[in-house]
Amino acid sequence: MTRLAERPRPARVALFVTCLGDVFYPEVGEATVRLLHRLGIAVDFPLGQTCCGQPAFNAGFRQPAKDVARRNLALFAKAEYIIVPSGSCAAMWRVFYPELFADDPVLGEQAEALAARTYELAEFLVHVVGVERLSAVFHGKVTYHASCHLLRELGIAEEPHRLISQVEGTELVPMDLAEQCCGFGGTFAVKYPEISDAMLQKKIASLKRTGADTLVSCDAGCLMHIAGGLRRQGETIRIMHLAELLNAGSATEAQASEP
Amino acid sequence: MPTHIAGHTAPRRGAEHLGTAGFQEHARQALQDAPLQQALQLLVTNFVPRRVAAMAALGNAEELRTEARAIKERTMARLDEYLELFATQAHRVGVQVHWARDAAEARQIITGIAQHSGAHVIVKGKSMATEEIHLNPHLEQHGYEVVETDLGEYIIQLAGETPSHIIAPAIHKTRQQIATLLHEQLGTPYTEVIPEMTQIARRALREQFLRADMGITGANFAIAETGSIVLVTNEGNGRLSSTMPRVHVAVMGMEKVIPRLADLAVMLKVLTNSATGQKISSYVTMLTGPRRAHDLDGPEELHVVIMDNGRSAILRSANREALYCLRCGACLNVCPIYQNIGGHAYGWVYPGPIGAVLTPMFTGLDTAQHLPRASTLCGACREACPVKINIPHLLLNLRQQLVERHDTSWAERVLFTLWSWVMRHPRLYEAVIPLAALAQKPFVKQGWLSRLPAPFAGWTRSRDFKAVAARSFRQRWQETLQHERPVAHGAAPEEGLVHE
Amino acid sequence: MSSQEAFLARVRRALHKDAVPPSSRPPLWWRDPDVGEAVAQLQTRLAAQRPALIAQVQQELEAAGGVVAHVYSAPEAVAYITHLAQQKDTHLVVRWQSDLLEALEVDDALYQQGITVHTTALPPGTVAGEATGTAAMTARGQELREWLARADLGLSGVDYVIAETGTLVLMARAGQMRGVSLLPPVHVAVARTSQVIATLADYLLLAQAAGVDPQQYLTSCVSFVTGPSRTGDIELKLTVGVHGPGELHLLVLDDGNTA
Repeated sequence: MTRLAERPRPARVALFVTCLGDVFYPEVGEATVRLLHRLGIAVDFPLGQTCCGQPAFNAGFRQPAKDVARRNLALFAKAEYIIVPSGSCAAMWRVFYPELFADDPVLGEQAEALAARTYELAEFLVHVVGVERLSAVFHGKVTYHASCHLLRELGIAEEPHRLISQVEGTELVPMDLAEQCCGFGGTFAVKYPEISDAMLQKKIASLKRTGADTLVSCDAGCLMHIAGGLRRQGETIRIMHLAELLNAGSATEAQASEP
Repeated sequence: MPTHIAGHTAPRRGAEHLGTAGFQEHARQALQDAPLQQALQLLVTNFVPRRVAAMAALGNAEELRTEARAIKERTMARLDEYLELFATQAHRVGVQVHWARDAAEARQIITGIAQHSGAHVIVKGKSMATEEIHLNPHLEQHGYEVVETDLGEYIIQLAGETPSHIIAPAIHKTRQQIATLLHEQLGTPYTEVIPEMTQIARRALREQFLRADMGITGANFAIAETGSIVLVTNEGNGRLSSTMPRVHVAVMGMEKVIPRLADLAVMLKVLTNSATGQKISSYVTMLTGPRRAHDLDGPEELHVVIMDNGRSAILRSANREALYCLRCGACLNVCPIYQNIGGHAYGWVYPGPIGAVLTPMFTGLDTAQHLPRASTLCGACREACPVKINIPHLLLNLRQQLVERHDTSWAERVLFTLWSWVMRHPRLYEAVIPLAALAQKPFVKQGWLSRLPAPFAGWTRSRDFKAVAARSFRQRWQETLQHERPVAHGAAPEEGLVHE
Repeated sequence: MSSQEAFLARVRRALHKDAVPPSSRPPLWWRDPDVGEAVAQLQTRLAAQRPALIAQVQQELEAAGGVVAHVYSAPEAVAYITHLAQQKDTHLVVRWQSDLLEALEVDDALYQQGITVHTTALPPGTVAGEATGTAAMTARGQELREWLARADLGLSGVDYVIAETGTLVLMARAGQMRGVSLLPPVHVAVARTSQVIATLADYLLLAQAAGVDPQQYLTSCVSFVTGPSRTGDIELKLTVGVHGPGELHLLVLDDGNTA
């Protein structure tokens, strides 16, 4: 990711909230919008959006994935910045959309162009907005789970750490298996439940070893999986998306006059 | 003390294909197998940190990986030419080069060499290529005495099993299991002391090296420029197998060829550092032809058997880079799936991430269709690979192939057809969400579900599932968020960073 | 069509290539350094770096489980060898036939301890180039094989020592039998400081540059030996001394003689 902080701060972005975010974790999208507003950035939410297509793509159903992706290319064609509060969905847009349309001269071009304007949230905040200080406040012992697509398809590793450490009152502690897959993997968790659960248990054990009261991650899928395991075991460790953490403790209404 | 091993003509445990149901069952058993789980912990505590430290110590690991990959890429693009050059150069120094289209032909060639040379006793250095073609049972059926000499291979040969890891074949066995095995099979006194067990094996096998007529090894690299083959080992059995017997046969996949002597430096470095975290293995042996006029030892005949066995199909496919594999095992060690289920559950010679690609490509998608799916695509394998093979992308390609062949359940096809329809019609999507919220209501406790209907029930056996939110994001957007405004955008970029 | 032709044709089809006559093909090498120049530069560089390289040999080979000793004269080398032989309760030594080992005059010292010494010299009156398949060679090979199987200690020189990894380069020249560094449980190698090179790449360059034909230079077998034999096959616990020697000693002889 090239550092774009020298450019003027973006005035307006389009939000791709992801289907998981829309349906299961609306608070993530909410926190994302409010956070961006606090940074003086206006947010568009094209209502026609649904899913990035990853579930079908990962299952090998490329045609349905393409059909869905094609819609997104059109829907977001005019957006200068597309913000995605999810590592796996952002990777779908950035890495796999160009691949899906590699053989199509027109759509391939569009996919490449759009990919270049798509940002995962943490990446956007650090490299495009150049966030150095945040007014968020959250008192807690926090540890970070590095979701796989974020870390390894997009190469976003230290940005979330940087942002978390800017939150006042937060003690960030490392987790020894922070970069180990939590076992979600989309339909994998349902198709291979025993293996998925074994991976999850190792993750939870590592989480408990940190003594943290809060786990932060950039992917709702991982959060859902880990939270589901913690709940079943009666654990009270809180699960938070990065957007929620960065929005914590500050006024939730951002009222300001438009310039 | 019995010094040789009775023939194992029955199929060895773990060798045969398991199919999807078999894989699930085997994985389940593996997860419950406490000694196996204990053994697999070694990957995390030993193998992985050693590789990480070694690669870091190199200082230029990234460059080396890039260069190693580039060498492989360029070689594969002109593989026929490099193979031809290798053969020409090898012939010049008296190597007999054989070309095996498939496993059956390879076995036939090797038995032919054994027969022609009048061999009876065969010692084997570790070779995954020979495992791939199930060579041992075949040789034994033809009346040859075959002795595995690599300690790990020797152990599993005694146990009647197949290797569970590419470079540490017996990693799934605890020392107690091995101690019992040696005691029962060889009649030696029981000991769990590892150096003592090693010495028992050394003594047992030393005799075999001295009486063997033929030695069979693999080859880690074949250098086209000089017609040389290179063996990378630690124990010394590779050297002994290629020096003591009168005939030496090296079996290798055709992708092992590299162009020049100079290329060996990079390839060897990334191989040993990735495989065991060693700067170099104890022994690297470069063989350029059989013994020469002035040699007092060394084989009189050196045969190199070059195998296709499905590799040209991989070469042709979108998954060509699977052929870059150096068989270092690094991907196995970091894979969270392999770490939990071990190697035998994969059902074939090559386990782990690379195995999930190679097995269906070598043995057919029909029986191995579960392997590309049994992955979360986490990418740890790609990160560990010395030649940067993009295994997750290769798995995705295979998943696509499965769908194109209609090797998916009827239910899944229907599901994604419906899914596509809903996702392309936002009004339908918007209508479905509150319906789902309604349908789940009786089962929701504090925002979570403890039971999901089949086919999703697997999740809720051990985990809760999040309930659909009462108010979706788009609802919140339409009701409140879209009316909220960003704070004023000042001229100075710091404005808005710390507000209030 | 021969099996080679059929095999290669299949590979070509997989690559979607037509058969092209060798003369029309682009060159197979993508870099072709001026080898003579490179070798000259190598020698200069090595001469300058030698003391540091020697230190590196010790560091690396000891880390790999070898024993490294510096000696400054032939008598000192002999003293080390005889002392070691005594410690190991040695009865039979088999050694290379090489100029360096001859110059050491180690045999007498060993005889005095009641140790039998055999060298791996070609049978008397044999000319290296004409030796294949003669009865004399066969008999000699057989008797040496038997001695090596019973020997307590193998003594060799080296062709090179690679400093980067502490690796001995042992080439199967006339008089330099492979089994000496392989069969006996203890292996002692004597190297001159002038034989130390920096990296494996250096060795491969020298091989490539050697006269007309690298194939001839390489001999039938080049053994790169770094430490004693080892395995981790049982519980990944490192054990030394499996099939090859369990002990490796390198004597680095610095007596100003580069012959």
